[in-house]
Amino acid sequence: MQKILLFQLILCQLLYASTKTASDKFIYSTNDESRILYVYDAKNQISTRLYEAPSGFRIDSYGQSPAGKQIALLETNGEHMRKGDLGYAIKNLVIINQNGKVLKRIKNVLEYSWSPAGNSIAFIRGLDYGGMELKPEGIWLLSLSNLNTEDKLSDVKASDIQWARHNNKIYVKWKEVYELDPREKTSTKTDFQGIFFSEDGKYYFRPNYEGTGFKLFDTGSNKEIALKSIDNKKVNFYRWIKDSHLIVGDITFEKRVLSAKRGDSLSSFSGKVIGFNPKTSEIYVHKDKKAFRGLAKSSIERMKLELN
Amino acid sequence: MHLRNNLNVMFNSQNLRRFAVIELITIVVLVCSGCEQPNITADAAIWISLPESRPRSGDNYSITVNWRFRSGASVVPGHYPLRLEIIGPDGISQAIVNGLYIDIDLDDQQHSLQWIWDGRVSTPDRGRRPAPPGDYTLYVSAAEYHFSATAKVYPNDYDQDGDNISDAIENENSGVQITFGTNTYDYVVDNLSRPPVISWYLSSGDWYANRGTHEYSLAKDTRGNGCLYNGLRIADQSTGYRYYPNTDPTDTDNWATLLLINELEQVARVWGATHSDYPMTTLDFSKQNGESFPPHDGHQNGLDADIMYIGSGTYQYGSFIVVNVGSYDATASLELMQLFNNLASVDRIWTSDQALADYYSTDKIQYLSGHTNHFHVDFLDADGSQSCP
Repeated sequence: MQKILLFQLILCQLLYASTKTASDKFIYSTNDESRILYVYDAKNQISTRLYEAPSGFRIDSYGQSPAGKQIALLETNGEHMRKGDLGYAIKNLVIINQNGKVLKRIKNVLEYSWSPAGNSIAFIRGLDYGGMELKPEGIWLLSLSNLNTEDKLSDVKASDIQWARHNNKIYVKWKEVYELDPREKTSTKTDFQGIFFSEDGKYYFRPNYEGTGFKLFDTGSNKEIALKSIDNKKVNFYRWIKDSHLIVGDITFEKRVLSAKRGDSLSSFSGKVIGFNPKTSEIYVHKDKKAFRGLAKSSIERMKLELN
Repeated sequence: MHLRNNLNVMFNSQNLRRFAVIELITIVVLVCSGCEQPNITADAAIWISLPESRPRSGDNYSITVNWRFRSGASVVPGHYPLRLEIIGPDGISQAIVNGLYIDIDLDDQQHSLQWIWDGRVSTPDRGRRPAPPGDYTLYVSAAEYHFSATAKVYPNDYDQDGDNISDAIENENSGVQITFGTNTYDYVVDNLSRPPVISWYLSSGDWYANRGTHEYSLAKDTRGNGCLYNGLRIADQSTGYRYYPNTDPTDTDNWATLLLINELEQVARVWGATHSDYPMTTLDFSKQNGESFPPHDGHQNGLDADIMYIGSGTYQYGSFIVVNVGSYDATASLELMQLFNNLASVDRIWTSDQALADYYSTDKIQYLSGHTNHFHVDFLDADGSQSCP
């Protein structure tokens, strides 16, 4: 459920810059309007409505393609449909363009992840019956060049998925972690305990699923890295930003810029992360802690991160 | 003893001291349950008034200490400590209340002081639990005047045998095997018209004496990598809650430590008192022996409970409520979370209602993604971590 790139309700996703202006645009949703996505133009300080989910739906998560031209989102209805004695949620994967136009809507998707090149998307098809009772049916691929064809990759059951940038493999988690090769269509069980790898693949983390605590690992040794000065149970925000650096902390308040190599923080700040520019290592932070009901101009700060 | 010491100072005479002691050790003993001022003609009296209602196990029990001293009473006016002791049906002291004081004036007026007993007794390992039904002795003393009364604790309507396991849970777990010591026992319901017991043939044995401590039900290792020993099942329904198995086979996903079940039922009773038409819906707990329960990352040792959010409309069994959509009622959902926070030994409560977490969170109510259609309650491991076999 937790995805590093996707944080429901408040987080804005970086528009990975394919153009100069795109790096200053961020997608966000507010706390109290979980069915509307906005684009914030940091340069001109203008918010524009991008997409609105159908009535009765909420947007659970959203993420920009690495190429920056499309946005994927998961929208869920509130009242579950009945199926005999059971009810399941309608959960759609929606792909829109930069203008908010719907390019593709796929029903019954549990999670998804963009390919590193941004030209494909991998997703878990299945039903969500609520209360963490998921019935995954396997992993599918969708190429943006052919939106009419959904290609089944694997029957592996999964609740979470991530397409790694360092080796172009897809990692999925259920009880164990499996590595899927999208070219060979093979699946291999691994000993990894998480699926979210750093850009260089040297490290990975396991999110704080169900309060069991955030854990960082060295990929080579597959051993957990002891985190200094961090209460891993309080970590409910986690996001790789560049190389082997990540931001962890409380989703609302205190954050730390962490070096996975050192297992220690380089710096800290408070506020809500709304975007990061990897070219300049600048981060955009909303400083109004308690009221994320919009992006008040005065509340946004841009900070340069020292990533050594 | 305080008064005697004072008298020793004031009356430095053997005769006077003997006189004083004789007068002051006058003990008035009355069995007084629900009565008002007893028919006492003495110059000095201290007595207890008990409520006319029928206090039940776990209910607050209002105890009123009264005193009256006439001008002829042989006591020095002043500020005296009051000692109150509660002795259980088994003769074991359950509470000694210190820190209370009374002012004695020789004014022939009745004075009173009220103290609320929470209707609970202490257990060695699990904190305070509802006092088992029976006759409790209240013993009060001040200025060397003493009084004792019998306070009757009645069974409550959800736990008629007063063993701190609700009748619903005992019925639900009839036939469940429990290992205690070197033996394995079944929960036994010998007659459903009577309160079920854990095991009728052990009711007078060692295990019975052990009831209330429940240390046979244990969470081992961690919620993310652990197991459950002698877990019990939450009932299908009882006051304030209903269990919804969803896609899991019935009775495979509703196992937990007895402590969790007791505390959850307590929350449900309080919730149900004001929301009788909208019970909370319980979802996944743990498997019978704990261990892996995918796709859950926790729920492995009987300390986790998933609870459905509350909607503003009519209660519909099994219909999920989703944060910020449709009939989701943030205020009522927060109320329920706060009940868990206040009444149960909770480590954390996880919700994906970001606005709620922003505005009303405490250290225990926090945001976590993946919880849009239920919130998750982590209970503390009361007995500390033990290792799975």
